[in-house]
Amino acid sequence: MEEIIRLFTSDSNEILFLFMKAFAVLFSFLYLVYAVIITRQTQIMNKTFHTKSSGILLFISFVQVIFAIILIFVSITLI
Amino acid sequence: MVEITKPSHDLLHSFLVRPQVNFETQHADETVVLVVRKHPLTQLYWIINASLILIIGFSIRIFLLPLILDPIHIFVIELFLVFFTFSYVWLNILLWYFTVGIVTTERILDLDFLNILYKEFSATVMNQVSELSTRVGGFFRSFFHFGDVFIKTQGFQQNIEFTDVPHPAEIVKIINALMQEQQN
Repeated sequence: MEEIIRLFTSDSNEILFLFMKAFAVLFSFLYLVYAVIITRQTQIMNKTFHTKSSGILLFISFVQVIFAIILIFVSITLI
Repeated sequence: MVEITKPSHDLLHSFLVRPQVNFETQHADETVVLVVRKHPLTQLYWIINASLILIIGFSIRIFLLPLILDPIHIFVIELFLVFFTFSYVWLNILLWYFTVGIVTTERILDLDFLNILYKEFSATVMNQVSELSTRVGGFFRSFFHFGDVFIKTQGFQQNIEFTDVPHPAEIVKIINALMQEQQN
């Protein structure tokens, strides 16, 4: 356990944080693709079966695209 | 006994009588009489999964991450955890919401979204229905009154199945009433 903690806190952890940033950016972009697909599919589902709540469902699906953009921003700037 | 003429509709209901909905292939003079979804209890597995992801994730965040990472990195990991869990929950809600069985004045339709990219649609007209049966088995199904409805059609037409739907006997009653109405 102490060895793991030392690995993260030593001076040579820059490579590790760079690795972490690369993963965060990659996953954020994948999440964006997923969010766009979900939004598009919600539109198709709404067309197939339309209810009074269709607008709310589409809005919540679209919120994920905003989440993905926040994640990309945070991954690039904060890490 | 569920009253066929009395409308009932709510966002999260799984047994909707005369709801204000329409579907892609609906005919101009076709009215939706019944919409059924899987009983909410059948969705417990992903609610438990999401809760476990959050509990385990935040336990690691509270007890382990402060020892090895600085607050900014912890914040980013928290964001990822919350957004990914939200997506998992939302995907399952969408699949549950849009996987429906529809009974109209003319037809019986089964719309299945097996995953976000795969859709299955089957339908039959009322006068082709040859046999209706229900299956309710097991403790939870009997206690909470949900089960399967099987709609067999004449000849080589495809059969339709509504699985894990509430009030299966009522569904059969409603379809029978509509079939008699059509015959008259």
